[in-house]
Amino acid sequence: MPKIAGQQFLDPSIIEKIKRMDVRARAVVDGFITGMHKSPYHGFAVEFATHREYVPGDEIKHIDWKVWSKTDRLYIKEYEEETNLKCTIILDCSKSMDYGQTGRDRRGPGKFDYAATIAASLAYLLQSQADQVGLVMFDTAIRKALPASSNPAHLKLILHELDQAKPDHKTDVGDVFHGLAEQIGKRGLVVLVSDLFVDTRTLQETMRHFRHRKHEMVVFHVMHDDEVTFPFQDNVLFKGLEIDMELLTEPRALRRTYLEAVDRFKSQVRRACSTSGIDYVPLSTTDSLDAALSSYLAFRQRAIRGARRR
Amino acid sequence: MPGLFGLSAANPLLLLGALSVASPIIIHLLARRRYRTIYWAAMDFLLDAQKRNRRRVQLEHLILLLLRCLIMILIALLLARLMFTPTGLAALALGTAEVERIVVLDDSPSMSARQGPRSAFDQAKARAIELVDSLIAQRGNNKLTLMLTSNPGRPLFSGEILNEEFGQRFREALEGAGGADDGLQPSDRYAQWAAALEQVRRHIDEQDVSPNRAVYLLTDLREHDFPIDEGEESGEDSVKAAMAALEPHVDSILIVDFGEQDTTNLAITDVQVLEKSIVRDRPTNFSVTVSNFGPTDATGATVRLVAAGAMITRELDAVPAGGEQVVNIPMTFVQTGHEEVVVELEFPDMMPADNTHHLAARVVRGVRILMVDGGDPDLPGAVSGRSEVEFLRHAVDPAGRQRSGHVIRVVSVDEFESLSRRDLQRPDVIYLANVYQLSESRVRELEEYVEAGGGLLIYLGDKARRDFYNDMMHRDGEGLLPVRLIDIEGDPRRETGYSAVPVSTGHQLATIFSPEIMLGARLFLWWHTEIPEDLIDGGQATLISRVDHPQRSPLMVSRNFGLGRVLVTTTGPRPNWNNLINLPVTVVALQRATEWVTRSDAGRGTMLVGSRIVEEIDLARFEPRVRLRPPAGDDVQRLVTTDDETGLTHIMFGGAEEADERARLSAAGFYRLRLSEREGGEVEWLYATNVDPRESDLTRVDAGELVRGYGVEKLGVITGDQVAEAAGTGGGRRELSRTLLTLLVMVLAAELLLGWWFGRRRS
Repeated sequence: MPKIAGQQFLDPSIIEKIKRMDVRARAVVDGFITGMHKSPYHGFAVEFATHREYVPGDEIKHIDWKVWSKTDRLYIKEYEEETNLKCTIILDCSKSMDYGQTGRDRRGPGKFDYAATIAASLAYLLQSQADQVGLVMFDTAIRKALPASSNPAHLKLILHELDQAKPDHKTDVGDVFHGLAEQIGKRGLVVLVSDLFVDTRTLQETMRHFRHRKHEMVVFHVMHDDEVTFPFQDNVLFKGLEIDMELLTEPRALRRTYLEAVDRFKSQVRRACSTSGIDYVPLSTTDSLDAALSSYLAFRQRAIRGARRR
Repeated sequence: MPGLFGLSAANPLLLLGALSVASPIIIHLLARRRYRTIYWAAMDFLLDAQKRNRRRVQLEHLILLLLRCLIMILIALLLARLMFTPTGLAALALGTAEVERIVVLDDSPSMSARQGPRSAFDQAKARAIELVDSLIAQRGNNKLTLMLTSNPGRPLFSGEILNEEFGQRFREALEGAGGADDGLQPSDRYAQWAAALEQVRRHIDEQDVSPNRAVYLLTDLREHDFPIDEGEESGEDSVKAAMAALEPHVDSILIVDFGEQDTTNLAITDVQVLEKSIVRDRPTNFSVTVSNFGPTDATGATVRLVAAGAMITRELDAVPAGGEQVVNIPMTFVQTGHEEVVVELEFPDMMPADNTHHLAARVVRGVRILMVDGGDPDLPGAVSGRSEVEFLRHAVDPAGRQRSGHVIRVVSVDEFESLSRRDLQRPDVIYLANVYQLSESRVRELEEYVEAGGGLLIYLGDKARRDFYNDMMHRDGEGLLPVRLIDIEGDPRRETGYSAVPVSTGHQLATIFSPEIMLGARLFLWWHTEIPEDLIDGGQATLISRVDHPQRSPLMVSRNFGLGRVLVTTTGPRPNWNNLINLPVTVVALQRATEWVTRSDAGRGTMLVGSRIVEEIDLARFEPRVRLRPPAGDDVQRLVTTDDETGLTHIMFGGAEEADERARLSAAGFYRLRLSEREGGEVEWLYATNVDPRESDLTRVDAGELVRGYGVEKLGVITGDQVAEAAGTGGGRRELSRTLLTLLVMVLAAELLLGWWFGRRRS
């Protein structure tokens, strides 16, 4: 498969045209993997499981040279993976995530669409690596919680839930997260996909709670491109998605100050994450989807190295 | 009139445009009503931004709104042409403003009237020079335009900047280079003040530079020139209306009065030729009317007629004040052709220009008569083997030493039908004697001939075909023939004769039919006819005489048709129809009837100054290039033009559209139109122009009544002494267009700059 053909599935504007979430996730992950020089598809346990044919990207050190000497064909030795990573993807389904989903001025994918695609792609990738993956969707309460599992059927369930999900209600991180931190018993990886339109102090506290429970955490801060660039020109009546407020204004007059406020908010979140030792990945709906996957893999590598050191 | 703070507007109505100041506000409000709705997640940031920005944005909006309102106001002021009249300190600081003086000099003949050594025109010229000199001495920013009433469309000077060099040129143009009489002289054209004032207005419209204008009308202020009650019919063409139309465009209209109190003036106001044609070797009577426009009776005046190298003088009796005296001067011309006739009045009055009258006399061999012979000499009843025309011919032009002044040509009906259209228009009188019938086209051309002034005599006889006369000639009263033919009546055996009786005793020809003159006349046969009543009632036809018979048949009926006349006699000169040919009075009657219908062309070619010469030119005979020789100066050459619609070829000189000054017929005197014949040789037609008799009446209008009557606020009447004094007070308004324009550009630039700056800060 040519490199470019795979990479085009990392473009959010193209991927949004794929309706089914499972197909979408596979397309994203495959597109992402094709572009890598190193295959992520192998475990790091040592118990042999089976052989498979070499594909470009596989590390040469895993080639079974004995088989080559006998058959003159390249085979890779695969091992029974020892899964020690338990990942819970927490997806924000609040009303604020609904921005850009519909409407005549819609530009690119909606915020929730983008966030769900990231969640699905991560779940697919994790499952491909035989890691356990779970899904929690919340707004003011936990709307759906699928416990972590490495069962392939479980992935289907996750993808199905993501397909069905619709954003609604306000966001309330406080109670939901504290409960979650307690619920996810075994320490593992927590991936939060949200626009984080909550009180930063509450957010910081909840994140600390997760850390306190020894969870590793990655925050994918998803914002719509409109929220990041504020491109409006003519008079607009802004109506709050989560709060009952209206503002009729000339957007050009507010643009600069608004963007400053957004930057300030992102800095606060970044600082909060950094102080809690949490990976923070800001994403806009126009950003390529590989950013999320790359961040995850980088984090995983670090986790593996940390585990080996231990 | 300066308004608040010395400000005023040339187009005050456009000040209403300042109301458009509301437009930016309205646009702003309308724009606020147009918005789209977005459901927004990050409301907190937005509210935060709004809270921080509110003051600044409001201030920016307010500044831009104010600038835009200011732009609208400035545009309105620019269009309204805002003026500023500096007063007090401002006047001292700003100095004098630009003022244009428009001087209209009355150069009509009445301005030549003089009481002392200098005419009103000389005085007006001197004052105009004084005015210019004083303006130059003021060293202000002044301009001057000088127009003459004789030709206001071509100003002598137009918007000239006043300086020493211009002063010199102005003086030379008015007084002549050597201070002699080669300067500006009064014209012979009647002063048309309405047209002159209209021209001033047009000049202002064209120039449209200076905001301050003072108009000076240098005139003798005659009643004829400035009528106060011109009546409804003059309407917008009146002097009053023209002055009212001019008023909004100027600061002041000053009439400078140079008229004399003494209005004694005697003038030749009319010269008429009593005969219809001036015929060679026959005495022609010139009737000269001398009018006295003065307040006292005039005695001792002499009238002189000079023509063809001869001079006849007549002493006049006293001409009553306000009245006239008519004197007849007979003269016999011995040569045919065009003769200049000059009638002069010798009397010491104020105005010599109207003491001469010119008349273009066309001396002809005789009155041209074309007789169409419809009779048959072989038929019974003819005069000794001759047709009726033979009798008519001898009656109209009898043999003998005394010339009748008639040139007769006899043609048969066939010959008449084959005459060209142009030849048909040539005779002064046409006789139709017992004509059977004519073609339809010929009848139509005959109608055109009479309509244009020709004379037609119709004698009905036994050959006249009733249907032709009724259907083609009478046409239910619309045609040439005033009577409808019924039948021939009378006694063919000639046993019973009837006499003729006059009916309309007021008609010139009715006297012929008085019983004393018609003694012994007997009518045996005649056409019984009837006249439509509406023709009689409408005055188009007159029953001159009838047959003294119970049927009361008309005998002689006249009809006016266009400019010409028709005379019909219902009995022909045949012995079996009547015994008229045996009576000597018949000759006299025929002469008088012929004279009555003859086309009048004695006064042709004599007109007022400023009229037009329009002639149809036969290009088959003449070359297309013609020359007009004015009383003074070089000939004017012109090509004959063809009318696209009618195909007629004609030449025209004079009139409102005349571009050539020499051909405007502005001077009184004789004009000669020279045509070259294609077969060699040259033909010359003579025209005479005279001063309009209205110029002779020097009666003045009362200045106070004039100002009151015209109701023009800016109108004033001053004397010549006050001209220079009035020059210092004219105008003073400054147009603020340049200042406003600069301000507008600055505000526009500021609006653009601030708009860009505010936008940049936001992005």
